[in-house]
Amino acid sequence: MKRIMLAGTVTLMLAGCAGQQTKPDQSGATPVEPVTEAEKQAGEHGGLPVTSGNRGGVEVIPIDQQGEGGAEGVEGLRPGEAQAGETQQNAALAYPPVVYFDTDSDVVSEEGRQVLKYYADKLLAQPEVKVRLEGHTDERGTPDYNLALGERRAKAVKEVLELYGVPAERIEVISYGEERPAVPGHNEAAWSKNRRVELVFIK
Amino acid sequence: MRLIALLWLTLAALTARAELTVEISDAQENAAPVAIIPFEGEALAPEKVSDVVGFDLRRSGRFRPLPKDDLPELPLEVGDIHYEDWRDTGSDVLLMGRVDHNPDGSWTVTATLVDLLRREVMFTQKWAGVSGRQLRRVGHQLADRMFEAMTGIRGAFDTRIAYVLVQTVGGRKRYTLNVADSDGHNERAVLRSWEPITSPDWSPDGRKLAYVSFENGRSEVYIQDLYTGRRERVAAFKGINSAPAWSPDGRKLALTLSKAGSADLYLLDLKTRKLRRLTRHWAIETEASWAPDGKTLYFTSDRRGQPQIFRMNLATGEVERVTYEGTYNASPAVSPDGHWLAMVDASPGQGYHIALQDLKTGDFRILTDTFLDESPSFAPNGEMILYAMNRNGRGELAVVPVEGGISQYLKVPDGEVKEPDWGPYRK
Repeated sequence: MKRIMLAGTVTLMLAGCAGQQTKPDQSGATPVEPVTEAEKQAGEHGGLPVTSGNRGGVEVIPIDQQGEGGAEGVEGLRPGEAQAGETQQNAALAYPPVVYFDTDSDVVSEEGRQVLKYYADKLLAQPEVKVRLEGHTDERGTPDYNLALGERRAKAVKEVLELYGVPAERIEVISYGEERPAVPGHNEAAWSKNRRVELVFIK
Repeated sequence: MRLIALLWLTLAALTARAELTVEISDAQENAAPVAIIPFEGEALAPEKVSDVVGFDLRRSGRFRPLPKDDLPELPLEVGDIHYEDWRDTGSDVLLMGRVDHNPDGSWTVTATLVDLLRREVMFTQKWAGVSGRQLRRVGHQLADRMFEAMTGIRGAFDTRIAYVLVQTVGGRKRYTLNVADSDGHNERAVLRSWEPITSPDWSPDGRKLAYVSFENGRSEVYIQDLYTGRRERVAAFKGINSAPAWSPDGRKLALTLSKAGSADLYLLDLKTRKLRRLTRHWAIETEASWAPDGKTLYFTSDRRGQPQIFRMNLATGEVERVTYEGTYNASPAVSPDGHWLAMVDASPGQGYHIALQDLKTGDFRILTDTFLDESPSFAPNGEMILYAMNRNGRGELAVVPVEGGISQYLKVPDGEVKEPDWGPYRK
């Protein structure tokens, strides 16, 4: 029974891989071809050569779905619907892999803890998967301070995951500060969606 | 995959240059009129030098060149001036000049500033054998000289700014680190990336930029020589690497690193490459800004809860708090004469604005009333502050004279500009 389930799971994982992203819309999820532009400008005072940034690609695999039909993460499901006792085949992702924060705060809310417990359990069930915690802030305030605040948030999430048993070596922390908003906009509706830590699962 | 990449490159190539435009604010009530006569022969040159001068003086917020139609006469020589005719214009000075084309293709610019009240020449200056491409700089240098003659303050028009341009290209965000003249002209890209670029900081000699690049997926600090294009990655430690700040003597770089656990300040000796840790505190310490004597470092710390500005005596390591007004103060910028501290200030319901604190008296005032202000940077003469803000839903830059009242906006038609830094006097 277990073996069939496992095989089914792997198939679904592979099937689900194609269009699946665990991150909403971020470029970090997509392998990128390096952009090379060399624009050399001759001349005196104006002569400034141009170089460009390269980016290594990172393959990101969504965490095991344990569900059928390549179900995507569904918002709003309560943890009760995915309890260990129930048949795992019917469970879709109970929460999107993101935790939100109050203004200027790095405190993980009760809701945040629920999300993290859920993903901690999944991580413990798949020891080969690592998680990268990407910390973000909204656009208000200064960019460099926000870079540090984003890191604080990601570290706070790491602490919670460790409390739930995920080994530190499997958790990576990174901050983008205010540079990668999830939602464009200059009001609280947008800002509240940008104060976040995203969980990105990596093999 | 490769086809898609090619498509992206093509799109990138086709995307128009951002074209930073400067919009001068109308709100300069106290601007003094000045008379600038179109220079003889400048219509034939690639740049109209007198226009460059006029634009510079306008964007200082202090002067208002008379419209050409309001000029009572167009004298070619000092001897041609009928001083009585100029009395009603309200202008105390008159700038006139000529641009000559030399046989070798170069240009010679001669300019004279006349005191209309004393009826005497204040100065005559000549730039001989300059190329067409250098004519704008001639205009800026002339504007600097004229500004100093009229105010006693050194002009900062012959300067450059650095900033980050963010555009959406083919559905993705593209980041470009740009350098431009402080009047928005001669925009040059020095780095392009699909990942964020932040926190540019000019070296004191104006040859290099330090900045943070996320091109390897995380924050790392680079130094780039603008003329050779050579780049060096100077900080890629575990955690964040950010907020580079050149020391006034160009020998050290202050940095924010979190490799030891929380964001702390470090000094990197650029010769020995030795790192000296400055703060050891669980709080966030970042955004270092040097006092001009190189002995004190101002920085943002939230050790008291919300961010406030502190300073450290680098010899003794002693730290003291600097800001007490408002619930949030960050991003300190010390004026070139060490007298003022600019910063981003916020209080509940007040929004984020640029504020100025007198470092001697402690007097504090809010300077701006724009939206989501950040990243203040002084002009090298300390007269004006360049900063980033949000207008019409997009990131733009603005310049505010230290007395207040926005003098100009800088924006691009297709994208956003942010993270500005005003460069040093040019050599």
